Amino acid sequence: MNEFFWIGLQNVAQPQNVLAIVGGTVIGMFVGAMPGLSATMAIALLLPITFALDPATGLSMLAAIYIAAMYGGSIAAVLIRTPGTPAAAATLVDGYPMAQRGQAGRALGLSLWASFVGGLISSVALLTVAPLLGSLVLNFGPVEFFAIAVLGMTIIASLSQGSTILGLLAGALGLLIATVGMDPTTGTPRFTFGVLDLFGGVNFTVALIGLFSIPQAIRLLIKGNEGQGSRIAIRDSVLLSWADNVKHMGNAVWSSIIGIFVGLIPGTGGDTACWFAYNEAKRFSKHKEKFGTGYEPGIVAPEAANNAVVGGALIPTIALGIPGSSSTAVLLGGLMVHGILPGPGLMTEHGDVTYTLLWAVLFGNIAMFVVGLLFTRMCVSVTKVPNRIIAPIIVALSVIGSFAINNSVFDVGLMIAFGMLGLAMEEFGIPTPPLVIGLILGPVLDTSLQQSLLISAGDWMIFLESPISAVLLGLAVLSLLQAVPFRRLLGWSKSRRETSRIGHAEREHADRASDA
Amino acid sequence: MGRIVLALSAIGLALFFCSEASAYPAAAARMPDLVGLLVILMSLLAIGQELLRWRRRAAEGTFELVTPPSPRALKIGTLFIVLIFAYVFAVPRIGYLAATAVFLFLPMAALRPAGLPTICLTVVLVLAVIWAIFVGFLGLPIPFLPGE
Repeated sequence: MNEFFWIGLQNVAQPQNVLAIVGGTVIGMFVGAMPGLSATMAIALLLPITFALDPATGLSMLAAIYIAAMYGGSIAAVLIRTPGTPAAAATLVDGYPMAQRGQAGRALGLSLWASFVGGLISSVALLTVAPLLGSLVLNFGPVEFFAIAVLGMTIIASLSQGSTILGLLAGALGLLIATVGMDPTTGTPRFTFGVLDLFGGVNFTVALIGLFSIPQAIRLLIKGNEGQGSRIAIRDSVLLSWADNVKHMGNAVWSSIIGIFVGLIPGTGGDTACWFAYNEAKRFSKHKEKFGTGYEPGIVAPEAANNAVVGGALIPTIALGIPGSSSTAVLLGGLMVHGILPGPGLMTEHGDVTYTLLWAVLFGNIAMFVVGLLFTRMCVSVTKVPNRIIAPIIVALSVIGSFAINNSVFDVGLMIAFGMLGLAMEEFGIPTPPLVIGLILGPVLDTSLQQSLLISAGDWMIFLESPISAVLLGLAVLSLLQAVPFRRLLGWSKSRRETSRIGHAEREHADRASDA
Repeated sequence: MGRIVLALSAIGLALFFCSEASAYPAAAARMPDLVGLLVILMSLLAIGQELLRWRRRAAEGTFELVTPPSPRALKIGTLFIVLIFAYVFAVPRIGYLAATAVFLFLPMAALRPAGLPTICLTVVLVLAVIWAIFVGFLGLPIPFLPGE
């Protein structure tokens, strides 16, 4: 067992870290319960608050916010038929009808318990798999890192919502923006135009705040509270009986496994996992017709899966430096803010902080369960805050948050510029997560490419000579090829059309739920 | 149409980066050149894909060059974006406190998601929380008042 494993446990049990986890859980739960505020945005907005804290404390707090926001999203889904976070979209399908029957407390209790089981299983997976993968990565050199980064980019682009081409375009744009700043090998300032603030490159956290907060604030102000269902009060108990817990255990465990695997795939997140788990629960159910009418397994499955995504998504983030989701990208930003760069050093050089983060995920789930039992009723009041009050507050927090990173007004302007770019991309159906991943992986790709070519004296074949790199690059090509519509290109259009029609119907169903 | 405009802008940006990179040492120019090429290629493919989508929609009779948003949504969105720019411009000039108070108050007062006393209370509460966290706790040297 790695020595950092126990150091991490000791760290996380420190009173200030426990306090940060509990505080983060309360904040995350309230933010998640506000319709329209995602876990990613919550972490991005609250990231500057952790600057003054010790890295281990700050990261424990961010992890707790992430976990609690995932559960918090279900509160709005169940009570007002509006998912608090995109990952809670599937929960409303059965959660809201159950609440309408006067069982809002039970629906939220099921959601809390399933989130706890999902989070706990995924924390164990994270604590066991991430160190193993991390120790494997220690043997990697720049050639393999280049291949990992290329694979990460292609998977994220090909699995992102919309088309592969648009995903790749967004990722490439992120990589292009990441070239701004000093070149890692020659020290040449690139595209800085004499602006000193750009010499260190485009600040990743500033970009994140802009990309995730400003478009959402504008959307919330425009939309107001249209389409929300009438609010339902909690009249019954949130606490479930032991028999209830046992009854749903199989579904919760299976959905958690789905969530972990979905989280492991870079570019996918809680919003994908919740629908995947919901559909699987329905497929294997003896009472398929009951789904959508307030059926309990329809709440357990998506909630277990979306919280299990947290641990799953953190595995590639910690071990490989490739974020599994937008939220983990922001968490990675949190590490970078504290001077901890993604890569093999995470598990060795900064092992104490990294393992504290891994343990914080486990502790965060326990805190979420306890705080959830105590505060869920109070969170109801948050769902009543009108969107048009939240929207300007988000902008005000984004402005001061982006200023706080470097005490620079330039960063505030940069944040707004990224906000406008994010708004345009979202309006035109171009996914933003690949852009974020491009911004993170850009420096990794740049440095590993330069180092590899220095080793090989400029010979590009070095990437195929290393078996690991060749396999990873082969997988990258495969991930792109699987997204090419060969059947349509070859003229087998009829079956393809039918498949897309089915896919379209499912997506419309999901969109309707998210929009609602 | 928006996708085509965005793809064309991306091509413009990539060409600009490639042209600037030509003055850098070979090692420093390698990544911008490679990525610039990738951006151009993907943008062209995105434009091609969009044109094919138009053709398909035209054949189905559902083609629309630009889907007009609702006039109210357009008005609210545009005014809010203008207000955001004005806010960012005003912060270093009149101070964060006054700029934020006005910025928070204007959209709420115009759209009235709550009564005026609630709006005023919200503005005061938000400012107090921001001051407590960012100035009190983090010691952030933001120009809070004019002339700071």
